[in-house]
Amino acid sequence: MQQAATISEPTGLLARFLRGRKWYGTEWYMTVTGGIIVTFIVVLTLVSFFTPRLAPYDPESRTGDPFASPYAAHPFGTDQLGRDILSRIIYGAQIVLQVALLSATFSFVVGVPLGLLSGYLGGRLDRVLSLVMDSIYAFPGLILAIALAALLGAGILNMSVAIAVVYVPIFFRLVRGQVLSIKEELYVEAARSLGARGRTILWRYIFPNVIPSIVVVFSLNIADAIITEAALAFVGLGVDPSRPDWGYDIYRGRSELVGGRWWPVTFPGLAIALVALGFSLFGEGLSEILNPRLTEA
Amino acid sequence: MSEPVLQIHNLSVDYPTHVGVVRAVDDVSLTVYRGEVLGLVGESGCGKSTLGMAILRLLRPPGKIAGGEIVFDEHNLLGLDDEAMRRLRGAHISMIFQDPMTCLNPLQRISDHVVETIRTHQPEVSEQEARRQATELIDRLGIMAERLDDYPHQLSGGMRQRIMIGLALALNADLIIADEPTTSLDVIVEAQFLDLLKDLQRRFNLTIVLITHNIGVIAELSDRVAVMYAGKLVELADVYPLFDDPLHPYTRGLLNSVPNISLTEDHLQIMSGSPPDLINPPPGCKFHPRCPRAMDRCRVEEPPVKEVQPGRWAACWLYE
Repeated sequence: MQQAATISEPTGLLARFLRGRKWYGTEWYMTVTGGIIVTFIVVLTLVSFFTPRLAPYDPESRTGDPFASPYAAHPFGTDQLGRDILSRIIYGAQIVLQVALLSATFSFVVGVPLGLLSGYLGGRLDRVLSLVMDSIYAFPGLILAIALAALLGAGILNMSVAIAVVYVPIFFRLVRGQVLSIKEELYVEAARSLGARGRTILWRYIFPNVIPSIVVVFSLNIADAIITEAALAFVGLGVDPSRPDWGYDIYRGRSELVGGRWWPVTFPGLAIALVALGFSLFGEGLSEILNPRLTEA
Repeated sequence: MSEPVLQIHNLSVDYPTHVGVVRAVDDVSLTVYRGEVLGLVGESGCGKSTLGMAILRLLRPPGKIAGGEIVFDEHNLLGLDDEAMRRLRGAHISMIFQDPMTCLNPLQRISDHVVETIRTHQPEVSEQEARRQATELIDRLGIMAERLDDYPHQLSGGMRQRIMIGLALALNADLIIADEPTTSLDVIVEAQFLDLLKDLQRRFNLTIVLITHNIGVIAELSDRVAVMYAGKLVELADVYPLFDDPLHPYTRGLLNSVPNISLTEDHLQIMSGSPPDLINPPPGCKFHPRCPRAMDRCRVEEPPVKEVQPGRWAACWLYE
């Protein structure tokens, strides 16, 4: 009988992610998408690490005829200055990922502690913080990001800060709400009745129970930040214009569409869509793993 | 009788609401002596749990103590600052809750709970020493030491309730408030749990305030019984006289409404009516609308708690 117990299902987050859940009666659907997403994110990370070696050309100098349509030497074609679009996309990945990760991290670092304190302490602090956060939240995100980016000026760091401000309320509201409900749990009351300190209750009882939802939102936030970054670049508030940036490349290529030159817009656009989709599916997948109740359904 | 551990003098607890103030505990005085089990019994909403939480000063807002004194070990708890009160909780007064399924942090191992409780109050104890004490402790509760590294969801309800007692006992608290400790356990586990509690109580001479609506649990465990009705203390006596010859009509009604296998009647004697609305309590004795022996005086004047016979207290005009 003891032998039987050794045959176990694959465990661990990755295995559970890849195994996925039943979808329309089969399990292969999530297995395949799960695999694609994980591979995709890994590849993307590698690409941004080894950019100079992977890109076939220098993204900032003329390496072919202007507006060459895709062919063997330039698989994604070239732009109006004869620069290789594939290389620009590979280099652009670096900027997009940096901004997305930085901004999600900033909003996490600011939003989570504020949400914890606000929810836990309550009172006047909570009212003031909630008012501020709700005001930011009520403001159209993209417009706020544009205004802030315009105020702060170009650059990766400034762009990240501008985007982070927009997403701080999302972390704040999520964490605060969770804290308010976890605070009422019996185990918190029990800990209090045993003399636990306020900070122990916050860090060991409340915070760990909030983490699963934060992780999911973090990943979804990265996807959002990628789109916002592209939008900022599109309106010219991104990095230095000579550097390859997906959003700005779309802006420059958009007028060429009329003349039938579809490639300067399509490939960066596709890159944005795929990366954003990848991260949001990753977030969904995480939420399914971390929320076993969803998986059971 | 031995020395008093806890003395409650004229304690009142208010819950302000939109429609008025609910006086959940109304002018209650009680003394708990070292080594005794005091049963606190009453219907839902009679203020027994509120009284328990008030002793620990853990009333949920908007509940607040409106008056009176709680003297524990010669300190007035209502005069202590929050930090002093926190240090008292767990180390000197601890609590066991009703629902063992949710009273442990799902993300902490059992050992973390015990070690944390010990080291909160005795920071000088090393991690290893606290762990050793934890092992000893859960062994005393009849749980295998291997279970120390389990998470709460890996334990049964009865085990979790034992862990809760373990946490309450970890620092040899002088007073344990057990709020409906067996209500969510099934009868077999309940019986085992009561045996364990009785055994621990005798071995370590524990002082326990046992809050319950279950007369059977009271009969099993208590030395003395306090009966509460609508926030008021209506009767206080040793367990045997109280069961043999209850003084207050409410206590009598409560005891009669418990099914008894030796009863010959076909029907259970039930108490008619329901507890009063505490926002607009009836004038006079709060029990008079349901009392079979209510007199004119009961409708206008509230009876004080007085010693009717030596060691037996009741709040009823019948004993005037």
